[in-house]
Amino acid sequence: MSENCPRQVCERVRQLLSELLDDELRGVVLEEVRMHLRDCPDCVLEVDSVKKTIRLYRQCSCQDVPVDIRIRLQDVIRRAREQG
Amino acid sequence: MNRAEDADLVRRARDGDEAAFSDLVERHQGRVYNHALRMMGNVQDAEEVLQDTFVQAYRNLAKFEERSRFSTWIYRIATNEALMRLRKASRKVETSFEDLAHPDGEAWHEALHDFTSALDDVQSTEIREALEKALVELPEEYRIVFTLRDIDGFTNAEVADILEISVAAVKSRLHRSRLFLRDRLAQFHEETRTRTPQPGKGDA
Repeated sequence: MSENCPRQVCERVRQLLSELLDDELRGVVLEEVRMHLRDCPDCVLEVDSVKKTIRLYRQCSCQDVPVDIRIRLQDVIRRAREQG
Repeated sequence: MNRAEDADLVRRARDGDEAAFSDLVERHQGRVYNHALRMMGNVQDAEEVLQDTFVQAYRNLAKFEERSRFSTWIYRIATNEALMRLRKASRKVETSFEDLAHPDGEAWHEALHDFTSALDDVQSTEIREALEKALVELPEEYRIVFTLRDIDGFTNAEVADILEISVAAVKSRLHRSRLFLRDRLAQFHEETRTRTPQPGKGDA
């Protein structure tokens, strides 16, 4: 919370943080948030940290299906076909 | 994932083309497996979810409505399979958002700053454990929304469709999940940092 920012403005920006990141804010609200971010390093940090958290999950969260699991899946489907 | 190609494969699979269903499995098994892994938190349960999802899909292919995307449909099956197992095993995470009120204050601010800077240069093996740990701590109805939306890349409307909840509920859960995960990761980072001896400190 920066010293010069009214607490309720920072709170409001934080409530709108997800919509900002998802590019869902428009018009006056978007402009208000942008103006606030120009003057409030704490809210910039707030936005930046969430943005980087999401990016990190996207980067680190995908594994290849192990070969043995693929083979067993094919076997299970084959049995389901045979059972009709 | 090409929707038209999926639709064509579904039509052929319905007509008895076994290779077409195998192609659908090949195209979607990776995303379903990763989704199951994030939901269940271990490989063994994730494999069971993966298998049961595709067996269900095979048996119910006639019920699939072509106005939907196959990927949305298969995720709905996988999500229901995972939730059924989690609830059966009573493995509900007891964490509540009230226990994890958004931290504030000077010390937290410094920790958050340090964490955010550190994210530019992380070792993937080191951070992966923290990511998984934080994700598993999320209550399951929040965890699903976060993984579908932010990791798997579905839109809010698609997540709402998969989970059969409103878009407003998706947005609300997504927002709280993101803050929760950011806070937990920053806390893990701070704990690791304070455990690690800093150069020039504590050298008597």
